[in-house]
Amino acid sequence: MKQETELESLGRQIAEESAFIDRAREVLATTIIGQSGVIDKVIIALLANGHLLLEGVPGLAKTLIVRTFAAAMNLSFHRIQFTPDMLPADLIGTMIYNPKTMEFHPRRGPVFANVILADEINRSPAKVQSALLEAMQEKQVTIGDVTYPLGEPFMVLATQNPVEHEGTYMLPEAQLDRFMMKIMVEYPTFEEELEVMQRASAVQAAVEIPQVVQPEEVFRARGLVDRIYVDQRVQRYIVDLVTATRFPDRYGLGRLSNMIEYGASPRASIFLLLASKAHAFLQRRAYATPEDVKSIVYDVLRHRVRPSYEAEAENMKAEDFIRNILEHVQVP
Amino acid sequence: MSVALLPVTAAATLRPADVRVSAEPDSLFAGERLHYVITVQHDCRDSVSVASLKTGQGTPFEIIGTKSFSKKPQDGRAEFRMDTEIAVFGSGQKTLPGFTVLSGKGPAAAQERLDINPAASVTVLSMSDSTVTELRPIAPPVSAPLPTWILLPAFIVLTALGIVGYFVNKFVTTLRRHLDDPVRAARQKLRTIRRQLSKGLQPATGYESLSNILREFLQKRYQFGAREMVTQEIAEELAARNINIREELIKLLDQADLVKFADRRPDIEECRRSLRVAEVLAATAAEPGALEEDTESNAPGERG
Repeated sequence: MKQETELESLGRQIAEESAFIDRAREVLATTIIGQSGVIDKVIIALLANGHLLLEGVPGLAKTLIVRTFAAAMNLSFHRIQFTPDMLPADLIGTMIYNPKTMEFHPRRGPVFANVILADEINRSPAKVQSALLEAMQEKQVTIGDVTYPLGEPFMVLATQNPVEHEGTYMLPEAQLDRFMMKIMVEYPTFEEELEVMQRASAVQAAVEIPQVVQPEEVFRARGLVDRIYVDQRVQRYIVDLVTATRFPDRYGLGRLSNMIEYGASPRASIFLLLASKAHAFLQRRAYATPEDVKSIVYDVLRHRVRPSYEAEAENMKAEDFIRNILEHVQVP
Repeated sequence: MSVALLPVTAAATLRPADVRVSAEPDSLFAGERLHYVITVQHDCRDSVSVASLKTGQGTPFEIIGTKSFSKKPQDGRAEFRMDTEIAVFGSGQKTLPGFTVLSGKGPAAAQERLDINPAASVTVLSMSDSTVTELRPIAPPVSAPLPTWILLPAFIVLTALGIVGYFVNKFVTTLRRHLDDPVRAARQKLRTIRRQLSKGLQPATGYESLSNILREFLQKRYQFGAREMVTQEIAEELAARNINIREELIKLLDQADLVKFADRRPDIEECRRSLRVAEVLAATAAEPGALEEDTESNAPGERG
């Protein structure tokens, strides 16, 4: 009898341990119509221990997706509406004086949850954004003299409104870089919107979201994602794609040289690799392929490639550069 | 030769009809010399001379040399003749230079003056700038016409070269098309890989080459960027074009993907089989008439 290889064994484990994804999808489908791509990206970010930036006009069920997702995953959820007068203490917490005991004791802020929805993150000034982004990076916050670790899993889903610019504080590039992916939430199709409208028109009690996934399942899945095999060829392909955003002329894309203000950072390569592995997990594969890379490359790179003034004058966007790069970098 | 009869201007004993001028040639190049002859018929008792020939600065004429002669015939009349060599400049029609004839009974007697302004002219041909002032003692060179007997061989040689060039160009184009034929190139490369397998090439490397060859073949044969596409994208592209061999091709690419990305270790026989299948698929995908003699059988030692 043929002996099972390590990858075959991993593949079998992935098939078993990924069952929770289907359960989560089923539950989400009862509440959210369409947006399956966004849901998959949220699961990828959860498996790859990353954070997401969601961009879309109001009313596209961004909050509903995140709230339902957290509920189905049995994860604690906090929604924070970012406003211009917000302070870092409103986010991470502060020391409160107790007159009875005559002592200060810490009051933890809304950042202490597994899933955080940072709604309209660009409405708060830089110091609040920095406080959140520091928590995202370090997975801990300091209140007073004490440092508190954040829960695991810890995931931030920040939203931005692409229409309004007045009274907003755009995230600096260094902070944008900390988001694993930037997801564009699109309008639903005609049929999807028809169904959304029919469901919303019915006067009924709020749907109870069953908790179909336990956090332990997520941790086990993360362990398997770590073990997913990524061949050197795929790794080189990832670095090729990221390098092409910095030095397009090396890949026969000289015309993009003055179109890209600056390219993606090495963090992009790391996130591209992690997200590719998580995508392979979603496909129940024990190995990543260039297909996995291509599936998430737009989401990982679009907020890391900055168009120059010339490009903006020609109405070229980061997505145009990424498409050009994909068309010129040879697949292994 | 040009001879001119001159109009009368004035004189008592000497009439204008007695004065004759001639000049030759009647046309010349600038800088060449004009032979100007003035002849005066007069009474043999008179002495005659020519003065004030209007040449030099401000005129197109320059005197080179002058000779005078006198003849005394029997009938009491005499003839005075002055031969003048004049260099002519400028261009176009130039009226012959005027002069004054002096006549008198003797040196002591008062002399009569007769002003002559010839109406005849010479044509000056300009070879160069009309402001030229140097003399041209030698006639201008005339370029020799190209002998026609030289043209004929040159024409024949050029025609022959053109014909040869046409056929060489046609041959090179055909050869290039033959060499660039994606089907032929793919099959040749696949055969080479099969031969190398017998010489110790790793089957995994063989699969990697197979994947690259198939992508290059698809790119050249169907004109789309297969080398930059993953297998799934190629499958969609082939389905959109309704290519009949797409299922077998994608199966091969999937196998190669497993070897490349899933660390699968195929055996040599499996690799040979896949290479042979790929070769057949490439031949199947050939355009009508493109296969010609390219049906080489398996090389020795690559049986599988």
